[in-house]
Amino acid sequence: MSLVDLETQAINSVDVGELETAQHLLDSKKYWDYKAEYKAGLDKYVMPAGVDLDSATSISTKALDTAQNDLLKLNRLKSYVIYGLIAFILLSLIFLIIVLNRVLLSPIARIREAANSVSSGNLDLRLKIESDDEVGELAHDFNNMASSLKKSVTNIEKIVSTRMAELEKTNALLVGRDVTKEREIDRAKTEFISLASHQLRTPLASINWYAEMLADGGAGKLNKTQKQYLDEIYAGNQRMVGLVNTLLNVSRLELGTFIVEPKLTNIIELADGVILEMKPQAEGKEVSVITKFNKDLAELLIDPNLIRIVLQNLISNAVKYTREKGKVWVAIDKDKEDVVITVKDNGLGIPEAQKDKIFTKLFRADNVKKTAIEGTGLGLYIVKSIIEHAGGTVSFTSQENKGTTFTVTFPLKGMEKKEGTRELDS
Amino acid sequence: MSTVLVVEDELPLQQAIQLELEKNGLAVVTARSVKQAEVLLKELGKVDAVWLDHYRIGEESGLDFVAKMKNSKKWQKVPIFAVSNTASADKVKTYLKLGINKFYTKANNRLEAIISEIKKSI
Repeated sequence: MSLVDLETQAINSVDVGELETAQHLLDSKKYWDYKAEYKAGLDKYVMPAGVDLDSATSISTKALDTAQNDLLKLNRLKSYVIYGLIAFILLSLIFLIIVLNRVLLSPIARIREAANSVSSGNLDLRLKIESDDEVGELAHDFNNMASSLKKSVTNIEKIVSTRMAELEKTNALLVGRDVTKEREIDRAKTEFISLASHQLRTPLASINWYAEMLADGGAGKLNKTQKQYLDEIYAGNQRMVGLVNTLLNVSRLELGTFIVEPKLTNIIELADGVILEMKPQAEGKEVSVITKFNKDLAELLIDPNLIRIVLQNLISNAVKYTREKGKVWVAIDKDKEDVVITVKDNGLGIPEAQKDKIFTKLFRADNVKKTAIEGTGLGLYIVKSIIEHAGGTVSFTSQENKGTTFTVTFPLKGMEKKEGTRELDS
Repeated sequence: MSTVLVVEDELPLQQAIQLELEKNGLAVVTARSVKQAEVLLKELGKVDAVWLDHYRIGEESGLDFVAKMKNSKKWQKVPIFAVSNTASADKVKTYLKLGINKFYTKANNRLEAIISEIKKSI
């Protein structure tokens, strides 16, 4: 490549706007080397002829600079035109948005707000129609829709109101029927108590007393067999009296007619009394009853009759369901704010699968039903009812053929008084 | 011989009570209602103790009879034993407030035990 080629290339680059390329070519070492070589050659031939080569070349360089400057100006002008166009388009867009918003979007936003308001329950809201165009039609349709909605809602409210009134009447009738039914049930229960207490207890008392008189020789001396039969009659009748009393207690607990009459009671003496009553049954099976009482607990504000029933049931169960020569432990202690009664035995235990039914009325576990041990299935139900009424708890742990431990707790502060019509029979 | 007035409407029970009281050396007069009992008191002029059932003895209950006796100077010191299967707890309380000696539930007590207490009071 020659100096002319390089310069031609630079000029072409300027022509097509590649100024950097042209500048690069003209700044290159190669160009200046060519130029120096060319100048040296020329100087060699023209100097003797008296020609100033630097002046000649400076004219051509000036022409080139002028061309470059013109080109730069042209490019700048081109940029101005492009920026101007962009600004014009942006301004036009902003103008269009403003116009759209004023003419179209604002009414739509108002309709949208109105729709939200109607959906929130403002059914009386209507839009002001300001134009005859499509937006105006939309507002008109919106108003029609709101009116229809208002009419529908008013109709539904009327229907609901009528139905509610009818429902209330029906409910009142049903409640009336329920109340009447409840009263009938209560009356039936009360009648049962009266029947049980009078109609059953009176003949039971009659059997008791005549059996007693016979046994005492009131109708002549009895032989051994007669005495044995009479004892069976008496014992059977005593069981019947016990069952009637228990059923009466259940009825009183369920009807809520039982009395709670707390008085300062020595709970240790109460427990000793119950254990003493149980002595014949325990001694008959050679079951030993071991006691551990906290003497500090002696005086408690409790209904002695109710706590006696609780102790009777738990201790008699423990003795009944313990095999011969077994053991029963009775402990009374305190734990923070509670009295804790524990009755433990090493007897038959409660089958795992029936543990959840043990407090159910009339329930007896399968393993005890297989034995000849008598029971009503009411004792634990009564214990639970009494203790829960006293604000206490009854719980147990048991393992079949290993034994059972019942734990009863109730507040140390004692029981609250409750008016009623019947005491529970112990 | 001391006399016991037995006010009891159940005849088999009345008979058993009478037999047992007599066996214990006491004279017995029986009534089935409060009205009958009042007539007997007037006729006899004296009784040493009263066995009194509460329920269904005529139109008046045992309580009415106790109230009348305790309001009478002549009869107020006579020991009264109320024996009933039906008196509610508040009725029992009223009996005791009126001044009876003791209240028994028939089915829960031996005849001998009640009569023993009556004898002690005479």
